[in-house]
Amino acid sequence: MSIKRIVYTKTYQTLYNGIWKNNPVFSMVLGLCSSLAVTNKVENGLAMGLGVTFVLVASNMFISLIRSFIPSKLRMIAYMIIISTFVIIADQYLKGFYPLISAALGPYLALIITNCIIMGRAEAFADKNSVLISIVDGFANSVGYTVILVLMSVIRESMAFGTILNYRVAPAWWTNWVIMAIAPGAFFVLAIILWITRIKARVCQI
Amino acid sequence: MKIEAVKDKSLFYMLVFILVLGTISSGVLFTVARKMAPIIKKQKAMASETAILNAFDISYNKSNIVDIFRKNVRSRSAGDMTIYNSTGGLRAIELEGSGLWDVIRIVVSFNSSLTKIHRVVIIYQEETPGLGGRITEPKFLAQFKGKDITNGIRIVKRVRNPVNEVNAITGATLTSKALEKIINTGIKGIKRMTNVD
Repeated sequence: MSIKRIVYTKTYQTLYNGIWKNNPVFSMVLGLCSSLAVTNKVENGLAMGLGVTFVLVASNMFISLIRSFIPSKLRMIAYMIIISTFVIIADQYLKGFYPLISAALGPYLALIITNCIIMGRAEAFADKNSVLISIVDGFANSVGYTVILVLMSVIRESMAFGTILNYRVAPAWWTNWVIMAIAPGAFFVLAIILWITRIKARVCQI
Repeated sequence: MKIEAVKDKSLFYMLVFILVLGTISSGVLFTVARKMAPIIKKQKAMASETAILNAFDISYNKSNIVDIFRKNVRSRSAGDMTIYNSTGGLRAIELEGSGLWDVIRIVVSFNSSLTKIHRVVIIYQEETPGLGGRITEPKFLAQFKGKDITNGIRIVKRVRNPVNEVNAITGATLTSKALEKIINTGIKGIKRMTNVD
């Protein structure tokens, strides 16, 4: 299949929309709580991104699998049961095998249940599409989310602690900006990212 | 009878659906919890043992924590407190108390005569990153070494009596005070235990 044809496939379009065009953070403005809360360090941002990836892909797959059986009046309850099951599995796994990361994420891993991205994709996509493409959609949105989280984390950790993934990157003369480690710094970074992406979207008309 | 025609109209179908989904979900979570419970318990125990080895300045590798702990540390319980004794003569206790946002769990080690602090190690804290969270920084914790515990420890804005006072973290008054309370509760407890002995 030629590159031009690939671009018009549903798989490619789903990937492109999820990662870039309809990026859940800067385009759909979803999942902001976790984007602000856990991006003080790159390892936390990465861990949250991986957690959301697992939950989003698994829940999209399962919801798509049983979409024919879900009564429309009970779909939100059904989504919540399915999503919370996967979140608890992810939480238990991290507590058992990666306790330091679990401790660093704190309550925000459990709060993935309330992450708008996951409920949003379940309602907007998984409930209406087949299993394979729902998995692709879940993967694409979680990659888009993780990329923004890692970008924010890199900016915040390097300015707040002078490190990236605990490796020193700032020069010796650098004075740590403590504000970047706490909420105001997160808001500033997110606002700038939203601003830049909105300008780019207007210029490129994506 | 097609499901499409029934699922949105039949109350019975909706009840059965939720019951089945809930049962499957509960079953999966129960299985996962059972399998993970011993692993999580082992992790928590290892976190405590690692902190106690650090408090005693005992070297270890990730693979031999349990062996090194068993070889070098003895424990003795009285009531709700456990005293750990190292082969080098140091003593330690594990403490937990309320921080600003969540509990703070620490290990405090003392010299053999229980007059001075040897080391403070933080096991768990959820304080504000960049402020209260800085209680884990080596520079802050190093202040406790050698502090006299006769009249308890004080974490203050400006140190006037270096015998038993350490500098608090700027902007983290509440966390500093919480840590001071936890350590002093531990000091009272260990003195009570050793007086009883």
